[in-house]
Amino acid sequence: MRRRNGKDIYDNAAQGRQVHLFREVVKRYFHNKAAVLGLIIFTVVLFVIIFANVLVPHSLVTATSVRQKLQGPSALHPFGTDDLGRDIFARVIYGTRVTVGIGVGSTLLALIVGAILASICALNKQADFVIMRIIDIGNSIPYLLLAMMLLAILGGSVGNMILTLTIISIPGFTTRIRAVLFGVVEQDYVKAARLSGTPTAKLVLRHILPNAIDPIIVDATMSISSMLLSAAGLSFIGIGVSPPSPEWGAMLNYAQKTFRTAPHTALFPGIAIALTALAINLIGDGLRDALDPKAIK
Amino acid sequence: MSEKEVVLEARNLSVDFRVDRHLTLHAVRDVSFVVHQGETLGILGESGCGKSVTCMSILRLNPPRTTTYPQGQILYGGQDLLKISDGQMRRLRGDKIAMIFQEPMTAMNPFFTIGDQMRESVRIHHKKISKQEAEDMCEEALNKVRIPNPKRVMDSYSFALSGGMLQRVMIAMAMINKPDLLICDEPTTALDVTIQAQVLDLMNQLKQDNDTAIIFVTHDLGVISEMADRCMVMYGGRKCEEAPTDDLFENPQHPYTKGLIDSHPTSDYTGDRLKTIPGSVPSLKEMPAGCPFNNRCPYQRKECLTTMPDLVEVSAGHYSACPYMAKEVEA
Amino acid sequence: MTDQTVKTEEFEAKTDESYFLEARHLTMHFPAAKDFFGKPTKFIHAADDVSFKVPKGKTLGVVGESGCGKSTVGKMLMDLYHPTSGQVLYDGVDITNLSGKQRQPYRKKMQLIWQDPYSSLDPRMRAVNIVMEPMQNFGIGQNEKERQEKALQLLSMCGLGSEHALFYPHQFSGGQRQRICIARALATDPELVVCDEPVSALDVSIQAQIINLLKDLQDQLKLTYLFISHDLNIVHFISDEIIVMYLGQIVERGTMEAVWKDRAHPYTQALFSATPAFTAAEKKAKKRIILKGDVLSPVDPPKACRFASRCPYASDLCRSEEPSWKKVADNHFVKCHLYK
Repeated sequence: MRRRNGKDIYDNAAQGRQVHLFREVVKRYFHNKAAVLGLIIFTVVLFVIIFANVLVPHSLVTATSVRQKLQGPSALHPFGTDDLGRDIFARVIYGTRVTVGIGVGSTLLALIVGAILASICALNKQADFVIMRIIDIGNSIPYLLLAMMLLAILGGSVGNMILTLTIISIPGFTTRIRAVLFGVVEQDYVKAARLSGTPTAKLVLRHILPNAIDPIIVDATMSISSMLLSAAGLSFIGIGVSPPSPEWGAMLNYAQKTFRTAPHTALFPGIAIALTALAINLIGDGLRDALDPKAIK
Repeated sequence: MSEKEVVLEARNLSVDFRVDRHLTLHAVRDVSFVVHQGETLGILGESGCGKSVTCMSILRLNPPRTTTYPQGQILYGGQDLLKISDGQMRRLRGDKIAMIFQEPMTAMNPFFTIGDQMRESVRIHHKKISKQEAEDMCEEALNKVRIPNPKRVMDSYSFALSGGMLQRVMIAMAMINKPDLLICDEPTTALDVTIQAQVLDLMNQLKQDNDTAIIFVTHDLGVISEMADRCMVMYGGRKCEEAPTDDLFENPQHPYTKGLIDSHPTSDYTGDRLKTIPGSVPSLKEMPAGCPFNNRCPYQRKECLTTMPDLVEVSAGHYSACPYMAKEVEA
Repeated sequence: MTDQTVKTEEFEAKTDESYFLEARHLTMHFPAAKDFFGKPTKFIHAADDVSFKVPKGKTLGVVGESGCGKSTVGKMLMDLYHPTSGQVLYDGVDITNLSGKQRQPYRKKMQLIWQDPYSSLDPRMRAVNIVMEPMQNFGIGQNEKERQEKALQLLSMCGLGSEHALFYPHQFSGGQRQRICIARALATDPELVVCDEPVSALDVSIQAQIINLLKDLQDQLKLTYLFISHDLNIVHFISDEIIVMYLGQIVERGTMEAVWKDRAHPYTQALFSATPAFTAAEKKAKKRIILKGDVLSPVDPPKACRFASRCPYASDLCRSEEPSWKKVADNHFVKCHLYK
């Protein structure tokens, strides 16, 4: 046996068909036109979030002007104004931070809690039984009712909104991640790793989670958009973020009074919600196809 | 055998699968064969050799959106099965040409009883038949495949029966309309050997009784030598050898067939190591040019890398696509 | 008849050769039905009173059809199932009830080769890392570099060059994957390797390569195999001793040559005759025995000969009483009422 050091294998393998899983996934993702479109839209959204104060001064969000109320789109007010004369463009721009922030924030929180609970379920039968029964109880309460209750107790702020959405989506996340983990735990390679003496922590971190992460990522991406819509929905029925904050759903709710005479008050926040949700869904779809293990070859 | 009527003939059949715009896989290339009445033609080969695709093409059961047939004909009763309309094809399927699959469990619908599904397959093809007559036909068919208590079996669901029992039901269903041709795609691979022995014995009996032509696809040398009258070996989508079964196993003329036979330990084998075929079966994407076996072949020559040799009749009824092996063995 | 009856202890005591792994009365019952309170009421008898010894440096073949419990036995040895009763002894030490930490040294000595080379390799690890992992877990080798070198050496022993070392499992064919599995099993320098149908998922032309590889490795590394398979011809080729199982029980056992020459149990005879032959000589030598009926349900089987429902020679005694072990020859035993 010839002696080889680590560098040699890499040199040697480079001559063969070496594959990098990550690069493969990226390549496949960019083959999907819809997914690229979603990514472009979402990049614009991110740009808006980061550079909102460069685009419009924050003072415009709350600056009222009775003389300029309910004006249609113009050079000064690209999206027009509402019945208090506030600039809708500025409100939509700053609303991005609030609405997308709520969507992403609550998804991340719910994902972390759900993943921890699901891992406990996958490793311990008794804990699994207890956790699943609690989740069953949670699932049996209508989520809108629960959200309304929580928001009524906590009060409608952005932080409370995130908290509420996190709580109502934890059961769903836990059950879905649990199902994925159970599938992976049953795989022969996990058993094989245990037979080769792998300790439990390493088993979870090295074998189980990496192989379960793909569907979880896709699931989380998709749920950002549904969180976004839930946030907008809750604000729309008037129990979400309280009025002065420029949340898209709240803006829609507020536009109800003026929608007939000045449709642009509802149109632009509506388009913003629809486009962002669409973009995130396209990204989720693209990721699902790109991460599909059957496609790796 | 040759005086008997030809039931089905495939001429230069090729099947392509379109994966995407840039990639088309050639699953079957230039395969011809004939099946006569009352004869069993065995198709032998490993995974990906095109044996299943070949027999799926007869009933056009390959995925319709991606499959194309760039050349060739499958002639049955004066018609080209690749050209007839979908309606005509539907009338043939399950009536004149029947098929048995590898997994009997998935070939049955678990929501209906065995009887429901059997009666349906009778009444689709014989519209005028009464319920009672259909019932009787099913019972008779189950009796023929030696199922004790057919009434009870007809009232049960597929998941309540064992694999061997289900495969017998599948055979009964396939034979119920007295087909001219029965296509069996690895019908015993999912069964245990002792159950397999029962099923094979039964199929041979039925063949003798009905004079049906059978195309029997398998990877198992033992099964094929017990079932087939004539045997065709496929590799990499190509037909590489065809011969009467006993002749094929006694006197293989293609290096792949020979390798396959030699690599099996027989019950009287006493050597210390098994003979092997080096390398592994190439996937359709990596199929070498010329003879598909060239990269594993001990008799490889320069010509093999570029052109697929033609099938040559070595002895009566024995065709081989390797002109080089015989020469080297002699020399 | 009675004088030929042997007690289980008798042939267990027969140890002129060195045996290091021993299964004693291994029994595995899986609950098949539960009552309202979740207490099992019916059991699938996956393995019943299975006792055997594995001869050192040799191969013990286990044959039987699906559901006969051969894989269950392998998994009980490997601690993937905890037996309902019975013991596994390694060098005379009972390792059945050892806790995770105490079990660890025995894990190192016993490894498993899985049936399905597609599901038994982590799709996110490169070949070399798959082989290195057990070494890391058991602290074999001084450092990563040493382990890597050993992993490459193992892969090349199993016929995979270093150009393959950084490939992911999906880049390999089935046979090559099985080679990686074998290399991983050998990474801990095991004494015993349990091969659970190692070739049945592979293409026919690849099976012989893997069987040869296993045989070569045995000669080179003085390995002991427990070779589980449904293919009699392959078991005959590779094994020194054989166990024939039917519906959770051992029905015949002995040295390979003795059992091959003189098949004493009707099931062994039927199994042998059902294996389809393709050479003319073999075909001529074989007398077909076609068994009637299906395998009995493994849920709470009757206390009688479990093969009686399909046995062409079954008598009333077979249907009412469980047969005991009988001696056919030295180191060849059969569990059948009819053997005289």
